[in-house]
Amino acid sequence: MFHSKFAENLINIALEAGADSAEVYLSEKTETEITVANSRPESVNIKTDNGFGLRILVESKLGFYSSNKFEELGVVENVRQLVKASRFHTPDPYNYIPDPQIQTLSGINEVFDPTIIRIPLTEKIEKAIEIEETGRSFDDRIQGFIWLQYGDMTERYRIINSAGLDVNSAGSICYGFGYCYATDHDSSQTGRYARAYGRFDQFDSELIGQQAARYALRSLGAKTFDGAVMTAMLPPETGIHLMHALFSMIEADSIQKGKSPFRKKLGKKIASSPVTIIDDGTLPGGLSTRPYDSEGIPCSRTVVVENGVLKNYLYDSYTARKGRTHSTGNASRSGYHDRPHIQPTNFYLEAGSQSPSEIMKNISRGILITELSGLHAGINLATADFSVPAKGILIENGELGSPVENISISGNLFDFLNNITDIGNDLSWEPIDGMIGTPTFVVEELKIVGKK
Amino acid sequence: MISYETIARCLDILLSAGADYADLFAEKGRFFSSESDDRKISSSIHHQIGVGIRAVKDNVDYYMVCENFAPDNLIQTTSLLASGIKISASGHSVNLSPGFRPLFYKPETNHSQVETEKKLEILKKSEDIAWHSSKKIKQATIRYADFERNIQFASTADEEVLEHKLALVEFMVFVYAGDNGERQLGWNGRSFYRGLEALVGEDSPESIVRKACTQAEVMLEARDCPAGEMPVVFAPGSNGVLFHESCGHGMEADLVQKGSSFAGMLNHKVASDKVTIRDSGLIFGYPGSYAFDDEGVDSQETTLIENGRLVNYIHSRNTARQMKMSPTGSGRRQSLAFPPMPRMRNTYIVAGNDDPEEIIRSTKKGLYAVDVGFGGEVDVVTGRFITSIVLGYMIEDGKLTYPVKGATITGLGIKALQDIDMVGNDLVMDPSPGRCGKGQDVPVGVGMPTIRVKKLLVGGKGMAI
Repeated sequence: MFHSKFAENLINIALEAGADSAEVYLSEKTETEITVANSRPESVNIKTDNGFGLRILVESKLGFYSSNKFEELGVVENVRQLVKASRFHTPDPYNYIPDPQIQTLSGINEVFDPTIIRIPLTEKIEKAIEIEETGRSFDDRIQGFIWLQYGDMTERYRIINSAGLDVNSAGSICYGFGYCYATDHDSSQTGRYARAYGRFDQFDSELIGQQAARYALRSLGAKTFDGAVMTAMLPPETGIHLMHALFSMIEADSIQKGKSPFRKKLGKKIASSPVTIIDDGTLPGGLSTRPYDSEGIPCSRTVVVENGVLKNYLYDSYTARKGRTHSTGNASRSGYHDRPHIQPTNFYLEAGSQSPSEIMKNISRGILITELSGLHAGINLATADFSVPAKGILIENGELGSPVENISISGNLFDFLNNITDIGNDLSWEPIDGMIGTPTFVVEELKIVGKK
Repeated sequence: MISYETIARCLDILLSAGADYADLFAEKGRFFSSESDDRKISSSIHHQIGVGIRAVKDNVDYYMVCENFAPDNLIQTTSLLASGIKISASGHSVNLSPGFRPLFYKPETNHSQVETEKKLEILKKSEDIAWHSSKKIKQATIRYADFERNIQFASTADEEVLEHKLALVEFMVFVYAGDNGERQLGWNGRSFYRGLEALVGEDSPESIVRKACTQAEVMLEARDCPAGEMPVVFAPGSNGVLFHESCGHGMEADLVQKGSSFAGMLNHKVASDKVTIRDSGLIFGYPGSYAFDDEGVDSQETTLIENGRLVNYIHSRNTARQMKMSPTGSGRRQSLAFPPMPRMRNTYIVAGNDDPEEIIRSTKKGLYAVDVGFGGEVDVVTGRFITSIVLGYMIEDGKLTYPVKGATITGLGIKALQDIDMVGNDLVMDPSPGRCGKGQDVPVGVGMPTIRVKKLLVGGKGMAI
């Protein structure tokens, strides 16, 4: 890599300045973001982000320094200052720069498409315009897109540390996002759809444009609803967001610090029997599949919930040491300037065998929850209570009926998980701090609050 | 940082390539943050340098980043960007002169010159206060951060080179209180474009930590909030974030152009007569304040709604040109890595004439929202918003009764503005510690007096009322 020699020197600079151990994360990252409005590009943004993050331990006290300035002279002075400042930090025996791990699984291939960086900008702009055109031409009632983006990201990184670890990996992703609106008589509705791909040649602008359009159209004419306790069906686009919230409650840091309602629940039944939840950094073809995590620990497959029983939390090296266990390889960094923290790799609810339409046939009266908004504000991570505004479509005798809006779903995530009865075969993914996947699933007795 | 000669050369290249407008934003930034999490203190230092180069042609924004100040690299990156614009035009040449704008503020203490030890002392002291405030406090995360950003800016519009330094200090605390299995969150924080001297009195770390602890403990006593439609009285100050979300975003001109609920509403009545809303970049030390924005336009105080009438939008240079209006000094970017866009600064509702106590007294049954928490989300087309109410009280027969938790409120921005029937005379400005995210994070402030909205949909676990 470009500054490899520099990174190797950095370890020595840190040790000479008084650090007991040190780790360098060196990254080269290029991102493209294109927004389009009215069939024309609106902004074209190309970002390079190359830099290093240095993690040091001084008497088990942790310090972190990052920069995109590769000049040895300035760095020496800054590392000295960091070592000095670190002496005032709190010693923590669980702070740890990982040893190289021998037992790496072989054949774990990250998804990396080196051509993404070389595709001409005009082709990428074209993809974004296609999203808009396929969305608009899908139906006369589609008025346009409020936000439409093509984006991609390519990263190569290398991790070396004073314990002798030296690994490198790479990853790429491209994605499209459409947020469109439809009007019909006096009703106006929005629909959004996002999809990520590992390779540019897989990018499907038609799918993104048409799905966003479908989602806006299906809510047209939505009425208010009195509310009820009823059977709810959650398609991937809403279920994924609840799974994401669940992740933040079962990662080891929030458990160990006593913040999560899932603490002391290991081995206990926290969900109904059909529920199996897995985090798998080795998943073939997964967009978060890597041989190593951001600390150089081999990625792994961890069964988090098996048939409703909580089996495992998810760890990085720090929390693993604290919990006297092994890291599950869930350390992640958003860039060189970010310290490693626990994130999903490919985190998903395991699919069932029936199609969503087959499942719907069994619902005599229920609701398909088509949109959740402001989940970060609507779920209490300390208690798992939630109250989240939503839109939906009523289900009557196994078929979709009229759309409803101005509703919210509320309850507690434990009850919610225990009330999951059916799980579909349509596992779909979205990139949210890693990849999160769910199939359509059914929850009994969900409280829908509406307008009285 | 960069010589005038190099800057002029880059701007010339872009104009020659046919750009209607071009600018260069060079930044040398130093970011420090220190955190006590689970009683463990550690800190991070981050340095970033680079130049954001922008060209606008036919209303398309082209943006690229060069990660160092070397003239050769800058010219190379600029040429690459110019090749993207493709249309050639006659050569221009730019004559640059130093721009002079009076300094808006000068921090009394320089962040980079304050010993790290002194900053860590603040955390140690805060940590002790939080963990010893009562047996009920089970966990605390306390964060201190400061930054200094040296910025150099030049554009083809003004032909001057502006330089300034932005220095910000931030302090935030999250505590978890518990009884048996329960955990409740309390939080508070401050953020100022100032030196360490800003964190005194009501804004001192000690006072901020105590407020968070008190909130978490009150939350333990709180009952589930009843659900249903009801009048909601908002406490003054930080609840202004609600109007930032529900209305402010819809008035940002880029979103207006995309059909936000405020599109085409200029000079129309969008709120009750009692409502006047302003967005100000001129409040000393507040997180949305600065002398000029990230496109070199002087900051100002912009009245958005006057006595219920929509009178202006929030503009960057681009949106102002496209909509044939004046820029409002609201073109902001997170850092050199991002192109600017219209953003709010310190958004507030102007004080009215109502007595805050009378507002509660005249409410038969409703919700008193003390803290609407971490913002929320808004659908700018329909204006539908969602916000959580971290802590509130029920109002029964004109009196505050018991604390309630776990509520969310939803409504339509314009409808909620029209339903405001009382506005208190007690405006409180709040330098919110958080950032406003719109693809990019920038510091913002909010404020409001006590106000009452006649009717909002409250979602909660409690029985419907």
